[in-house]
Amino acid sequence: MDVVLLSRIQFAVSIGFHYIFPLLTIGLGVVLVWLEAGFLRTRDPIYEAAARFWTKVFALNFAIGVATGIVMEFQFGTNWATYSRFVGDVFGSALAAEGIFAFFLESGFLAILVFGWDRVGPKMHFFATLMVSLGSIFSSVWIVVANSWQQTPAGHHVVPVLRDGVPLLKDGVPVMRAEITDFWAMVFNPSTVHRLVHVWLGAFLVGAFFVMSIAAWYLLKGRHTEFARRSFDGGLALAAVSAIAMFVSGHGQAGSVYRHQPAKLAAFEGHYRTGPADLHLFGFPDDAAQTVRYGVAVPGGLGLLLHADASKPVVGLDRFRPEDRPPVGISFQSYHVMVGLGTLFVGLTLFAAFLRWRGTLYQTRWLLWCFVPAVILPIVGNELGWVAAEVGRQPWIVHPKVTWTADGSDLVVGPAGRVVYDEREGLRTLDAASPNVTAGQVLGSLVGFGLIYLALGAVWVFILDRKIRHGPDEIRKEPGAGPEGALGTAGLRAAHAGRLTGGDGAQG
Amino acid sequence: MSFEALAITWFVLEGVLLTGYALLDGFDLGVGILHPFVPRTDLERRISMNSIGPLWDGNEVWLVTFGGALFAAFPEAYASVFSGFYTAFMLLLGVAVGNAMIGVPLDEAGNFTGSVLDQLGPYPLLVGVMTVSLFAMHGGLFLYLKTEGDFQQRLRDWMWRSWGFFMVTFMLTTIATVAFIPRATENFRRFPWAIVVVVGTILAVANVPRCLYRDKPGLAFLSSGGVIAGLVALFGLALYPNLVTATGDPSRSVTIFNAASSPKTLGIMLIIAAVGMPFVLTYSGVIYWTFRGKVKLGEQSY
Repeated sequence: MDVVLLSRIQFAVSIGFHYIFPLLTIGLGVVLVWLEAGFLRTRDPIYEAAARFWTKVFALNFAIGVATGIVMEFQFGTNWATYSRFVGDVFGSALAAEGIFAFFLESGFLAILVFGWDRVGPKMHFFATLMVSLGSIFSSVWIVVANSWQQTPAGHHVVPVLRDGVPLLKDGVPVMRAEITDFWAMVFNPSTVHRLVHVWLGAFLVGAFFVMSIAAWYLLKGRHTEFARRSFDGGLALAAVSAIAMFVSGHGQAGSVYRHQPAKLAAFEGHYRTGPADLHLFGFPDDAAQTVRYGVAVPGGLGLLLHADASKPVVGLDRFRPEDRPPVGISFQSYHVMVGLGTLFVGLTLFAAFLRWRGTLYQTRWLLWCFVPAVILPIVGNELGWVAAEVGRQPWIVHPKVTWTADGSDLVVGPAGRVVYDEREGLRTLDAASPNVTAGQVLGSLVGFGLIYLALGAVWVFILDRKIRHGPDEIRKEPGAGPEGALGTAGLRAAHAGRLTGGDGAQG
Repeated sequence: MSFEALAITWFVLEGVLLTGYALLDGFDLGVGILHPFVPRTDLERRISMNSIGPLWDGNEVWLVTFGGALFAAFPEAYASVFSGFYTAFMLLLGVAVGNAMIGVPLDEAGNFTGSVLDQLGPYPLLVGVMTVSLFAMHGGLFLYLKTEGDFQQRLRDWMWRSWGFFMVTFMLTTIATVAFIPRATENFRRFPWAIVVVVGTILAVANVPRCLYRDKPGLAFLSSGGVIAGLVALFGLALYPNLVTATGDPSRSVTIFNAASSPKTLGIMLIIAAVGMPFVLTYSGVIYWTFRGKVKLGEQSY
């Protein structure tokens, strides 16, 4: 295999694994803030017990997120050196802002969140929790800004790299890079806000389903029932609202993708020929036949969504040269499964909310059993959303602009009716890898990462399982008066003997 | 600010971030290095782990920010260093530092043209070993401050041992640098004031055993922090203005001027740092203050 393909695979493996943890961290962070605010407001100790339990789970997810995130940061340089040279001036400032504004904030206050329960008062602890949650949200802001700039670049110009005032030549051709001209135009490039909202809602869904999964398991086992009900209620509310908001967000985003990356949307929908466009529920795109096989579609549905007019033409893949088209199969399937899962979340959460309103949810055991493994689904949905966004951007790593005709109905095209991209404004993924790294080196590190991540994943599941089996601690009569000092372990044992919430008492 | 001033400012700030990382994560790594040797009982192992438990994660961020800022301020260097030291980087940070000192073969676009074996020479390995012994000493001193009783007494031997080991490797590295890397000492002729850093670092190295002997572990820890800061400063001074030195044709070297981002980006980042870093330092101080004193095991401990 060639070095670019291996580097792509390594990037996909390492980000696919890493991505699970920021999602959980952002989602659970919101849950923690809500629980601790509840404790400050009501002083009901069940909130504190719940916050302490979710904090332990949060810390575990956070640690794996940090460890795998460091790999991501340096991988741009190790595997994608040409890309790093091209985007460093633009992308770098967002990454640096992420470090200074987000990572320090979340990692610093994490110390107080996890280890500070008996060292600071409840208000200071709430503040620390808020800062950790904000930090995790900030970090998503800057990375999404950087990625959105790759999709819809703005606030920059592409100029020759200067070495001591003279353009740097490689094989006689000046080396080009993107330089920032307007910081805020770069930050608020056309896709940033749409994509950020979409990512946050995705993270909330993961966090909410994660909480509901564990809570449903406790409810089915009859353990920690009061804790589990409150956790489930909170998770259900967050999930239902996020699932519905996700549809609004997704619709807005599809419009934005069509304006700025029409080839991507055409690939999502398997829309080969410019003209009225159907909205597929499922199907199998066939590149050779330029059609979607075995598809079930709403006729004119895509035109209806984009233009509010089913008969209006939608730009198809035929407007692009074959080498400028994204891989249609992967784009189509990842996009469609993601949308399907989104629909399922709306149905599932609204049905559960209806039963909750009727007061029968906690007796409907089959539904609770559905929620236990259901946490996998929003994780899959988020991962597929990322796959759709990144594969749909191909063959570009930095997507050049497209130009629309004056009335906005079609693209400005060159000879043979096809779009001619300005190659200088973008960067192809094929040209972006490190020129001096060999396939053998990448294969070696890929195998290494694969093994380490498998081990890390196993450790994660193992520790998570232990924490879940152990469950939340007993409800404290005097909040904040925890066992302290070298006698801590003895105090802990005594406290467990008097646990109010029941359970098997297995110690973590 | 002029482009040169901005580039130099960011070179210094990179040094500050690297110092922050080496100072703070240095003791985390040191505690980790000593972990298999010093603690004997489960309780001692837990104390050892919990001494850094709340702090290591925040300390790592200095490295993450160093990397992010390198990407932003000197993208050429970021691309050259990380793709060039691909395997070494995946193996060991210290070796990468040694390689940056001794220089590597670069082509006209700044790409590395050597092989992995070029990166595992004796000099980089020596710098790697020195770094490990320095962190072991730093971590031992930190752990000494956080522990009590018999466990603490046993750490005394380890502090002396790691200091001795560091002394030997430090002297060897110094001799090797002066003897084999003439470029490293050139800047001291250009900037005579830099001799202050040399003297300061040597005094800090000497002050560690003095404070240990006089039973002032807090001052000894500060001194070992001074050693780390001094060594990072010396590294920067020896390197300046290069970030990656080309062994063959010096004009191919990646310098802070030809690797830098545009003045606009450097300026934006300076604003980001000026706004962000006071907050970072303030709340980091508050967090360290919260976890001051000897390690106490509680319900939330490992």
